[in-house]
Amino acid sequence: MRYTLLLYSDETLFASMTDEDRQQSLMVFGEFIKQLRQAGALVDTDWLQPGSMTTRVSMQNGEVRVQDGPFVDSRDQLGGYFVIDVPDLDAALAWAGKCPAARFGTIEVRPSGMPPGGNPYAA
Amino acid sequence: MPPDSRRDPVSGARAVVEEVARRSYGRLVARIAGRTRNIALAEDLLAHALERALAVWPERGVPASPEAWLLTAARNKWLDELRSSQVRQRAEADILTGAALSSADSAGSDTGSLPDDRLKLMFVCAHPAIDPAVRAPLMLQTVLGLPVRTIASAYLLPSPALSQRLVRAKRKILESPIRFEIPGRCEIGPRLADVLEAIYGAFSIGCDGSPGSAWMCHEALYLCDLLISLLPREPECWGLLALMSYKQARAPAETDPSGTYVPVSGQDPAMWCADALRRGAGALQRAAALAGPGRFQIEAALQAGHMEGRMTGATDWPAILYLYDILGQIAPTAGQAVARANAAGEVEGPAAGLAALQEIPAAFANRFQAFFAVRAYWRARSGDLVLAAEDYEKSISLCTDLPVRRWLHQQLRALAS
Repeated sequence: MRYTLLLYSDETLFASMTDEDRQQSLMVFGEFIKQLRQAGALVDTDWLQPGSMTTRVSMQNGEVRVQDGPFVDSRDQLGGYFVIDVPDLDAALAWAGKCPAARFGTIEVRPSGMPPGGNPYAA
Repeated sequence: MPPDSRRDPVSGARAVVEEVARRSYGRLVARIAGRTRNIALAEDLLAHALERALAVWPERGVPASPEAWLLTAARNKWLDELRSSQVRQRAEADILTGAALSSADSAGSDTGSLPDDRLKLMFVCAHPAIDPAVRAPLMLQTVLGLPVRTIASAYLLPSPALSQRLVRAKRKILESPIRFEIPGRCEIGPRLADVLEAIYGAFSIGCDGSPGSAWMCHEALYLCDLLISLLPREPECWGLLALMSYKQARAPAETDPSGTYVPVSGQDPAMWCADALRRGAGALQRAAALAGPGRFQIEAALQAGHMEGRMTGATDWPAILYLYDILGQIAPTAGQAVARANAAGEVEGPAAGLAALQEIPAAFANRFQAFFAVRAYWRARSGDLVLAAEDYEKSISLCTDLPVRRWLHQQLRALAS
């Protein structure tokens, strides 16, 4: 079963990171990613640039509208995600609990809504 | 080539500054913070004093008592800052305390006679008003002078996240204010337990096997030694030293060459660290002589019991069950409940083990990997291989530790054969 871990944290914390801080963060998450991979649970992960780098796209009056800027002005922003494949919710929660982001932010664990085997019409 | 102060005064003085900073950082921060009541300011003042030393010592030579010199430099900087600050009245009062700082410290000619305020600093760091998660990092930074980034890596935290918490904790200490003092007789028990807990927390993180945190075991042992030197008559300090020593002794035997976890019952005692083992046994004896039982002594005795059992080939399970029962009365945890049930199985057979597991509250058992691993074992021992396999599967799915996962897979495969 696939679960997506959505990582939210106060992005002002990371606003003025030095290169060394950035390397250190990569190392901390790298260790976790390695463990997920070795357990055969890792599907995908990414680290997102700050909310201020967001571009919004929507269709309005038949035209594609592109807007600059974050949708919500909140300190806690989506900063990254993990997609993992584990047997059940308990296992997903165990991994979320081990994720470094749980130590400084909040993780939302969402089960996949996709039918088993993926979207049949996309084949 | 080591720096030679006779030939090269600059690198010679730098080496002395670095050596003093390494040896006396915590002592100096504790001393200054004890007077200024402000840890962040104490760190800044000491950093300034160390900078001054780098500039002055190469020219004028290293002073007879480098620590006293640094304290005076820190105090002068503090007085400068107070004089230029807006709040005159407050400053006057502080200058008086500043004078006290200098007169008390200039009397000392070396660190031996410098009053040691590190114990007060440790009590401040582990104060009940400070977030338990930040107590050990705060000690590692202020008492041992370790860089934030190094501590953050061990705690698997991005360093800005840890910096923010340390700054917040120091502000809380300053503004609450939390007093720099050793708690009184009736308060010291629980307060000391908090200090020991923080040190043990740091040790456990060092043991978790991630490459950025192994050094923490060593530093936690150092903090415990320091605590014992300052409070030699507290049995639980010795108990913690014993517990950490036994665990440290066993660490080299805990994973096999394939990276699979090895439980004590399968370890090779020849791989245990003999020095750490001796230190553990000695500390446990010292604790017992002080006649004040406590959680860490019981946990240390349990380690000793398991390891002696492995060495002699005959584990005294009734004694171990008894110790887990006592531990459950003073410090009930999910780990203790599961280990107790396992011991009950060893003493009275699989049915008793399974019954004891059944009694563990769901809040402890649910999603606890060790619960399912132990239940799998006793289900297998009672012949219920299908349910045992289910439990091993569940345990594996909950396990985020690779060596233990491999061991669980091994147990699962062994069921089939």
